[in-house]
Amino acid sequence: MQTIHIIILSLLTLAVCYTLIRAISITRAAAAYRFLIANAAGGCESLGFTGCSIICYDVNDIEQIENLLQTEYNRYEVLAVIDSRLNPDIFYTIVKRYGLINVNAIISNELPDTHIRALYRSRQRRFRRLVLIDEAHTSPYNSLNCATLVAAYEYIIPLNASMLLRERAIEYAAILISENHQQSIAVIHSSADQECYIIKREYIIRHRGFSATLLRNIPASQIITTPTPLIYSANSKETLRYKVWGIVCAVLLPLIIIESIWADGLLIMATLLSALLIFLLIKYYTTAADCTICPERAMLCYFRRIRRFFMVENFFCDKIICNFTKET
Amino acid sequence: MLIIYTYIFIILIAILATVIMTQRVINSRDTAIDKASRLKKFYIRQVINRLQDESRIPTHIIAKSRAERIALCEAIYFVRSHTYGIDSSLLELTIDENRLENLLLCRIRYSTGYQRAHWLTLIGSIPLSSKSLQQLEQLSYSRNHAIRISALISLITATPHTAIRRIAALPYRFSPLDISRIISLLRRGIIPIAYEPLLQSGNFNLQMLGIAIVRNFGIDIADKQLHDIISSCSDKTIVHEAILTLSSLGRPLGRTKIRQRMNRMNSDERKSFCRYLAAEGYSVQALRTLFSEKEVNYAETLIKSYKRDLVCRQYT
Amino acid sequence: MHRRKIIIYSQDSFTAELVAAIIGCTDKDIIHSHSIEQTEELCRERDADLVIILSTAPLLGGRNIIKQLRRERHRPEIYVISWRHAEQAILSLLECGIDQYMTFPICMERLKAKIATNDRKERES
Repeated sequence: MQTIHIIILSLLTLAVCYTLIRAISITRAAAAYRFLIANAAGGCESLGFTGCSIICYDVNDIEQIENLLQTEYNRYEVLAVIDSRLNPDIFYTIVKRYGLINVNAIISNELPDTHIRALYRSRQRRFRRLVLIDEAHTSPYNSLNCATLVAAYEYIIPLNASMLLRERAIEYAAILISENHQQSIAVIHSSADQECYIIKREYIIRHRGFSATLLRNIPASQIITTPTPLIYSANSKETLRYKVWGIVCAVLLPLIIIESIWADGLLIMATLLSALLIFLLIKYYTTAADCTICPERAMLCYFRRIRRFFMVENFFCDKIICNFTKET
Repeated sequence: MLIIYTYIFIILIAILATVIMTQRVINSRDTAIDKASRLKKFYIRQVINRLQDESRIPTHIIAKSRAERIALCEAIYFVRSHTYGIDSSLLELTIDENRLENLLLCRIRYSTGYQRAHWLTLIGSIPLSSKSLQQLEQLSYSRNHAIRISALISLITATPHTAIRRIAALPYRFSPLDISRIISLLRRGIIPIAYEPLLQSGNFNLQMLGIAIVRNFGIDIADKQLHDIISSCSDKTIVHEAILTLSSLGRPLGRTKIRQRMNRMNSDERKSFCRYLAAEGYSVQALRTLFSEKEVNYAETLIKSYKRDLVCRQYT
Repeated sequence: MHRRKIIIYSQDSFTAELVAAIIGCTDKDIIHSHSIEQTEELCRERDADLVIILSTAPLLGGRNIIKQLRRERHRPEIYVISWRHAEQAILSLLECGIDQYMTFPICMERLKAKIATNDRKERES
């Protein structure tokens, strides 16, 4: 067999095996998620006293705040970070909607160079979980650091403008944390297609705040990885469809052309069947596991993983900051 | 050229066939899920009607196919988990006629992982024979935590008088989720447990359960027992839980023993506790009895952020 | 005789079915709703007498649902049934303006008695 046959067949086999293993692990994690959440009803109010603070950076839609506040878990808060001078419309809409008032903002000096202008909390008891931070925007990392200083709970979940929480995601995260409370867990990584990190507040403070190197070199004993998706994007599926199929054609066509020149029809058939199998596996686990992520978005995340694998110097940088750029 | 065209034609036909078949599989699965959901709702209504039937004349709930029997099991479990004070004897005829126990035992035998834990949870909602109890006993020693806890909970539901004995004999520790599942049994009135013997027992699981009962039911008068635990217990987890429970009840925390115990915590834990007390509404004065000056200053920044400075400033 | 109109809002259809079965529908029209917008529309169109919300989530998100459900001269009773037992949660819901808050697990007789008391009050007024 020619070398090119072997190389192409090996790559195809690897890709199919990787997708198959991923499909199995995500489907099993979904079964665990459904079981744990169904049995945790009513018990999540004080699950090991685990608390989570969600940080929303650069909020541009009040519906995101509405979605995040609808979590029923007790020890939970939403910290929205907005620069009132850059985005006055959304800022004052949130202030008015939730009846927020300016409260004393004596911020601790745990992290340097944070530019908090004001803090807002609600008078109404039902919105006491919402905190609005007016921050002089310098960088995404600085916004996250400002919110970390104000956060009342131990675990921080940074989210960008278009990200929403899956139903009962916080309860599931609290279950994971409380079941591993004997280990000192610094990070929980949801390795689903829409990745998400839950980071311990003290870990962030010890590393002087959010940065590109925050999640590097974490000991394996301090990180829990779960394939369960915890967040999803609110962006439209329609624009994705063309982009994703464009990428698929851009990857497959050159491969088929190379194969038709240097190989034979059987290899072309193998390539197409592998691509089809990968697509079907992705479609299977997105429908079996989760109805908030569409197969097109799952494929886009799949391509991003492959791309990230080859970009060593940016290997970490994307993990948090890519969540803060507009959806590509 | 002809061969190439033939290859391409075969490939396209294969792709089309696979896509059509997959779509059919997905559609049939969606149809099956919809059917199961409709059946479950139908049986929920039937079970409620049976439970509310004041005539006491047994009415028959019939489930013939396997899908119907599974839906009936799910419906009975759903009704029992969402209600309390129901007379389970009204469902015994239904359960016997439809051989639900055999169905669930079969499902448990041939499933694994969380699926098995799910069937174990369902079997806890029906009366069990001694053969089933034996199988559940074996499964309560499983290596899979979800399976063994689900088996334990089903055993406790079937034989409530053995709850304390079973929990005390466990070779592993409960997680907070396990405790909350047992608390939900208490809320349904399935296991009548008094908290005092649990707090004094010396067994990790029983003490954690006792503390959870105090917290969930807001039993203020238990603060003396909680203080005793904080003074005398050597297990750090239990002491921590007791201190947090006292603070969630809004009890004063200024006692020497609590201060001594807190001094043994590391700085991360103390800071986390500081933030917790600030969020619970404790004042700076209350925290001065527990923390150092530096920690109190940190707490003060948090506490003040919950308040609005209403003092009017006079400008000269 | 006036048939009481009850709207049950829940994203979980099984819980809605459970509550509807407990209430019984011999002398009542029970309508299931799956979104808060649908609940508001149904309440407006059908002049519902009672709205049962089976979750605290819609009341905590920021929309003034109570005001939307009680418009002009029509004031339906609003009951909330959920799994939350924390005092702060209950107080915040009562401050919103709901009429009754009950927790799961629920006693069937108690729920029926509350609905019956409500019926009697409506008839007397």
